[in-house]
Parts: sequence; C-alpha cells; structure tokens
Amino acid sequence: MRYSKCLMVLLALLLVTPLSAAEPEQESVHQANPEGDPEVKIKAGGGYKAHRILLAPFLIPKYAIIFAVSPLIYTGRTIERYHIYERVEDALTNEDRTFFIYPIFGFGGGSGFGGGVGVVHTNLFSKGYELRGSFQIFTNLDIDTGVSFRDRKAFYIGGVPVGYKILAQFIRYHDESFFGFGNDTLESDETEFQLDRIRSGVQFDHQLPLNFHVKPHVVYHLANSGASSGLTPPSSDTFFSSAELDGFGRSLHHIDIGLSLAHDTRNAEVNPESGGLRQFIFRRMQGIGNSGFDYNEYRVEARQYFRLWKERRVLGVRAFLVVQDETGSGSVPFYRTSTLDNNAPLRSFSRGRFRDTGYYLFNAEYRYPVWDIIDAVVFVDAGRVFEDIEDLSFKGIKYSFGGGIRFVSRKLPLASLMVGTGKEGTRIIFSLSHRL
Amino acid sequence: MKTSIRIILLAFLVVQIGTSCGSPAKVRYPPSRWLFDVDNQAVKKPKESYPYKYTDILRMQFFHQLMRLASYPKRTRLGLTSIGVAKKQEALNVTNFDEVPNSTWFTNRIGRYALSTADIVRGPDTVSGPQLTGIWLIKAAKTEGLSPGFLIQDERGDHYIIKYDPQGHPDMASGAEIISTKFFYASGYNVPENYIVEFDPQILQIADDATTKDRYGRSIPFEDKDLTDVLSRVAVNERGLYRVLASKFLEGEPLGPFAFLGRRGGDKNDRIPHEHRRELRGYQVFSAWLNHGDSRSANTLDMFIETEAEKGYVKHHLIDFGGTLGSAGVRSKGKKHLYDYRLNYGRALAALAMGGMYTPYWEKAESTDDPSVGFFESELFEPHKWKPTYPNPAFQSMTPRDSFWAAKIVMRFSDEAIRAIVEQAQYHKAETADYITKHLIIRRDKIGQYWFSQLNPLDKFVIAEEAGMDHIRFTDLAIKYGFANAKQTKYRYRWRAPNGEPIHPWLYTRNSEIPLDKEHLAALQAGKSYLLRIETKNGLNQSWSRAIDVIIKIDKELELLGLRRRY
Repeated sequence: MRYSKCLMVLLALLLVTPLSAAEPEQESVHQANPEGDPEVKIKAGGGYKAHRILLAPFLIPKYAIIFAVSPLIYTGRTIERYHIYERVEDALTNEDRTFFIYPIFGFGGGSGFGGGVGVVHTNLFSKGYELRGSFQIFTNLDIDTGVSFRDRKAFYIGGVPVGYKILAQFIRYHDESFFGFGNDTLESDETEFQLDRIRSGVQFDHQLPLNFHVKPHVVYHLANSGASSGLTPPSSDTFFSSAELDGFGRSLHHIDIGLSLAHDTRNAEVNPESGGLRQFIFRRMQGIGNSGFDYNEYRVEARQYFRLWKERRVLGVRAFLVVQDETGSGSVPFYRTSTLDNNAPLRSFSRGRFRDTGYYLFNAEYRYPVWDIIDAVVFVDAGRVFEDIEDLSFKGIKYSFGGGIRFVSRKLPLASLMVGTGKEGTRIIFSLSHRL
Repeated sequence: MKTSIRIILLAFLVVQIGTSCGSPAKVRYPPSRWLFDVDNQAVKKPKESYPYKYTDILRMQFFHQLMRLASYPKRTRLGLTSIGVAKKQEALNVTNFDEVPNSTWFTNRIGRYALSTADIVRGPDTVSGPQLTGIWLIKAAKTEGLSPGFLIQDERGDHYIIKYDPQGHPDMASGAEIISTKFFYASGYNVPENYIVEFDPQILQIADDATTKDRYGRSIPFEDKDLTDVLSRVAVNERGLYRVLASKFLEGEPLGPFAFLGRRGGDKNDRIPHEHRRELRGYQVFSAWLNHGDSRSANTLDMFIETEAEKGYVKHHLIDFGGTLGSAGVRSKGKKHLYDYRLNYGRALAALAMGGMYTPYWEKAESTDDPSVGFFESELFEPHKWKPTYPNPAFQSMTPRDSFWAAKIVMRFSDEAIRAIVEQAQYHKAETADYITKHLIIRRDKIGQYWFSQLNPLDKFVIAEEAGMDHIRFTDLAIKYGFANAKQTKYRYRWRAPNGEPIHPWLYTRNSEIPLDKEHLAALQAGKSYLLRIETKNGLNQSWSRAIDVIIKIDKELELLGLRRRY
C-alpha cells in the first residue's frame, strides 16, 4: 500500500512537472538598453527545472558525494584562505628550510595502522651535518624509533671525502610471525613472538674512483624475544620446540662488524633508468657474553636497469643471495635468520613467511609512466630459502607476480601500492620505499 | 514484470509522449535575433568571493568529476535520454535564434556588427595608458595572479596594475595579454583596458601608505627593497626603459571572481547557473584559439557597479591573459600537457592499459625557439580536444550549439584584423608577430572547419520577397569561409507540421535561398507556427548534415520566430 502511494505521487510528479515547464514564459520588458533590443529577463526554465526534479531519484549518488565532500572543500578553503599551510610550514620548519618536523603514517606490515613524528635537519650548525629522528607507534603498540647523525665529508682520503653515519634504533614488535624453518613450511603453521631490538653503531662511506664505494660498519645489537600475548595465531613457543627457537626468551648481545663493497653505475638512486648496482656485503656477527652464537653473513646483490624505447619505460632486474655461515657452537638466533617475505620482496607472501640460513631471490620489474608522478609496475618475483649453500636448487621455488602503481617524485619515492598474487593468495602491499 | 516496474515505465512513456507532442514550434522569447537581458537591475551588494586557487583545482579536478560521474543519467544522451527523461542540457541564455542576449556578462560586438579594424584594435581602451609624465605613485604590491607586480596611481589619478615579462622572455606575457584582451573584447566579453608601456624607473615613487602582503596574507608596508626586488626581474631596454603591461582598474567595487559552476549567492540578477551560460561555455572555443589554459575562476573578476544608494548590479569580467598563446605567465608554455588537463583521467587510464606504449599526442608538438613567443603552434591543435589546465564545468557542459556559436564569432576575425591585433603587442621583432599571426589564422580556420562540420552551418536567416514570392535566404558559413565549395553544395528542405510530421517530401536546391511556394503555404494553417527543416550536403560531410529547423509563423506576412540547430 505504501509503495503504491509512492508510485502514485511519482506518477503525478512525472506528469505535472514537464508540462508546466513546457509552458512558454511571457517575459516582461523592464528598461531601456543602448541597442534598443527587445528586453527580456532570461531565466532558467524550458525544462531545466523539470528535468532536475524528474531525475532526483537518479541523482542520489551525486548528493551523497556532495554531502561527503562538502566538509573537505570547506576545510580546504579554510586552509587556503587563512594561509594555514604556510603557518604550519613555518611552525614546523626553519627559515632556511633545512629543518623539518613531519608526520609519519604507517600502514600494515603486521603492526596495523600507526603514526608518529619525524625530524630532520640537513644542515646542522651550518656545516652540512644531517640529523634525523623519528618515533612511530602502531595500533598494536609496536614501536619504531631511531635517531641518526651523518657527516658526508668528515675527512678526506686521497682527496675523496669519507662520510660517516652514527645511528641508534629501538624497535618493539608484538606480533612477529614465525612459520618454522625451510622452504616447505605451511602457511597454517603461523605463530607469533614478541621482539625488542636495540642497535647502535657507525657506518662509514668512502667513494672510490670508477663508481666504487666502500662502507665499513660497526654496530652493537641487543635483542630480547619472548612469547606473544595473542591466542590466534598462537605464540611460537607453544607450537615449536625450543630446539627450533634458538634464542627465544633470552636477551642476546652481539657486535655486527662488516664491510660493503659496491659498484654503483645507476643514473639515479631513486627511480634509476639505466646503469646498475653490484654489491657485496660481509657481516661478522659476534655474540657477546653468554649469547653463545657467532656467524658470518654474506650478501651478494646485482641490479641492472634498462631504459627501453622511451623515457620512463624501464626494465629492472635484480638477483640477490644471502648466506649465513655459523662459525661457533651456537646457532643463529631464530629471529635473525634470513627471511624471505613481502619485504624481500617476494610479494604475495606474508611477513616472516620463509626463514632459514640463506635465500636467493630474483626480481624483475617493468615500469612505465601513467601520469606525471605515477608509474605503473608489473613484476615477477621468484626465490626460495635454503639451509646450506650446497642445497641450492630451483626445487620448490616460490613465485609471485602482479602489478601496481607507485607515486614518484624526482628525488623521493613517495609510496607504492602493489597487488601480488601467488600460491598463497593475493596480497595488497602498501609501501613507502622501493627495493628495485 | 512487476506491477511497480510497469507503472514506472508507463510514467516515463507518458512523459516521453507529453514532451514530444508539445509544440516544437513554440519559442520563449520575442522573435528577435538580438535581445537585452535585464540583469542589471539595482540589487543589494552581494558578498565578496575569495579567489581560491588550490581548493578550486581540488574541487574541479576531483570532486566535480565524481559528481559528474554520479549524475551520469542526467548528462548522457543514452539511457534515460532514450525514454525522454534526460537530455543534454543546452545553454539557458540563448535567444530563439541561438544567439546570446547582451547582458552584464556579454555584449555582442564582432558577432553582430561589421567592426572596423580600428574598432577592433582599440578594444576596451578609453585612454592611451597611464600618464608617463609626472610620477607613478606605488600604492601596493600585486600579490594575486601568475606574475607579481605593483599597483600605481598616475598623475591623472587613474589606477593601474603593472605587470612585467619573465626574464629571458621579452614581450612574451605582456604581448599575449594585449592580444588576448583585444580578441576577448571584440568577441563580446568584459575585459580590462590593458596597455603596453615603456617607462623610466625615475618616475616611480612609493606612497607612504603603500602595502604588500606577507605569507599569511597580512598587509605590511611596501618598502624600497620590495621595489628593488620587482625591478631586478624586469628587463631594461637599450634606452634604459622598462617595458611593462599596465592594466587599468575596472570600474566599480571588486567582489572577487565568479565561479564557472552555480550562481553567485546574494545576487538576484544572477539567474542562470554559470555552467549553463552560453558565453561561458563558448569561452572554451575562444580559450582554445588563444591557448588560454588558465581560463579558470581565479582569472575572472566581478565588479559591483553602484547605481543608487547601496544598490547596483554586478558586472562580470575576464582578467589576466598573461598565460595565453605561448606564455605561461612567469615562463614559457611547454609541450607537456599542451592542450590538456594536468591530470586527464582518460589518458592516464589509456597509459595504464597500454603498458607504456601510449604517447599523448601533445608530446609531438613543436614550436619556434623565439623566446618572445613561448610555446605556440597550430599543427597539433584540434579545437575539440583542447582543454584547460584543469576541468572547467562550463566547458564540460558545452554542446555543439555552444561551440558553433563561438566558432561563428571566431571566424568573424579577418586575417587583417588578426594581424592588426597582433601588432598591438609591439613585439621588438617582426618575425614574432608574423609567427603568432600565422598560427592564430591557422587555428581560427581549424575552429571554423571543425565546428561548422558538427552542425548545419547555415545562419542569418531572413524572409525576403522576390517576384511576388517569399523566399527564405540564409548564409552558408562553410561556403562563406571557404570550407566548402558552393558548386558542390546542395540543400534539401521540407515543411513540418507542429507535431513534427513532414508535410511533403524533400525538395532540393543549390541556392542559398528557399522559395516558399504558395502551393505549400496554402496547405499551412494561418496563425500557426511551422518548421522548415533544411539539411545540407557539402564537402565537409559526405552525407546530409544535421538539420536546422527554421520556425516560421504563417500569417498574412510570414514571420521568422527562431531556429533550432539539431545534432
């Protein structure tokens, strides 16, 4: 009954409005004009209003959008009219624009949403020193905070500047994932553990002729792992044996001493279109006190970029190998084992998905422009973890492929949004950095 | 089928029948080609509007496009149009003859009168520019618009905004502004008086109360260092003079820009949503011609003209043409996004879908390396593809009738008139003027050729009696401007009853006049209005063109009531 009444009203509306609107309006003459033309009072009509009424039901989405965006427009106008952007910018930066306080927004990665604040000074004491600091906290109370100081030209060797960077970092993860070791672990075996890490140290950077770099470093690490508080997924110690969880529930100290040798011919660090990066990193992890472990870690990386037929059409390929070699009696702490996951990146696989004492990974990306600051990306990733370098094979290799877009500026990678798919499903990855 | 659906469909059917059976020969206004819209009645002063730049981009580029998407049924000619409910909204301020009435927005000039070249080049000018003898008192800094400058008062007491060319591009922005001012004025728009001036810096004097604005928009004193800063960016010629553009203050009290969407609140004279004003829709065609990518709300200005105590009317102006032709105001235009939005969703989607194989057509554009021109060309220019830097709702509402109307006006500028206008820019090299003239002529012809091919290009209908017989005479614009050959052109016509039914089969002629046979007229009822439908076949289209319906009242004397261009 109610519906039929509504329809009757609608019918009446439909019948009446167009006819009334179709009536010609007799316009009145008002005042003289220089040309002596007939004078009229031009008004909206001739079906305009009628159609608006008739189409009202179809315009509900439009009015819903108006309702939704009006506050945004109002806010934008307030910001513009009262120069709020300039006021905030001036409040958060210095006059030379070498010091900034900026907000940080974090998404996903197992920590949920989060945010924080960062500070950067790129010309401290007017001597070109760089100071950075940040603090982020997430919805699950994960914390990531750190501070670094950098002098790019501390001293000279052979007329070439040597820089250094001192850093300190504290990270607290409540829900780190652990699926066991090896390439054949099951996704359903996901467990979680809590991890606190502190690291502090110094890294030097010496640029040699012919695009070679030498970067020695010394970093102190303290880590403390323990049971997660969640029930689903269960805590790692309730699912895996203590033999599989070396270092679980203990505070472990170690020194990381190492050296990076790189040959970098990329035309730019951000969004390179040509050239390549060949890099070898050696790290000696020496346990301190009763930590009971020491091992060497070797990383080899080769990247190459090919500009295709036109600017911004780039094919990038990367091969990456990590090997951890235990040299003492103790094993590598389970949380320090090589991890092949969406950060590696093996996109479409979850965080912490595969762990062992080594892995290899191949990435290929084709990127092309969609708009000024947006590139589209199509990618293929393939890799697997292994326990021993002698076990290296392609058997059971994990694949993912997909695509997405990334926002780029001339100097900074702004963000990327990728969709990767593989045997374990499809994953959307939002990232603020690019690996390739 | 459910009863409710049946009822709704029936309702639409009734609407369709109701609208289609209404007399198509009815007209709204007096049967005159030219009218005067009385939108200058004395009303209270409306509130001032703020020239939002970034929010306007946000609104037009994103939010308005979302709304357009959501109101798809209203815009499209498919879907609801086919059942008679929706139709593409035509401009609301047109006469029966598809012309724009004179109003506070627009005054028919070259489109109506045969203006002399002297009239065209004089444009809106009432004086010869700021007085160069005596001092120029600097009253304030110019902080709005693309290029900075300052506001002066000359010895006569007239106020001007002084703008200058960017470094490395002598004459570019000032030349573009002068040229566009003349074209827009002659076309019918309200624009400021702009003058090219060479002045000796010695005549500048800062007023005691001169102000500029800080980053927060607060007024602060204008000091010597501000003047030095401005002058340091102005090129000095060999005679030690600065060449600048002086833009005379408009009459009245500024109310801020008008929007291209909706109406100005508080102005009772403002009765038509701006996106449905013919002259603002057709502004796209002029902007395309003059490459006015910056044709946005911030480059318009409403002035309140007081006619009695605290009452008056609003006059609507286009301002700031420093970003036209090859100039982007503070620099040269470039090929990137030439003739296109900064963000064109369609092109972005095409680029995404084509995996890097897609190249926007504007990437192939080439221009002269003359720094006084900037980046200006005509080879890749296509009138219907041209877009400003971000969407303009009036442009997006434009229909072929609007563009046809504007193209008619554009085509009224002869080669000589174009050359004479370009000469007003006083380029220091003759080649610069030659280059700009040449490409403006080519672009003008492209506009005419394209838009005249979209509708039946017949205009200026009159009823004339010859040898005792009435004739309908008209001008075929395609022939007039050389786009079609008169010998290859033919017309067919037939009378249609008020309900749209043809009264007789098509009749054919090769002349631009149609005899109104007594035999046919005798079949028509006196006192009623009928349609004479005319179609054209010429070199522009292989088939018969879209029709044009001429509305004629049958009486003792035939009377032209109006016309409808169909597409």
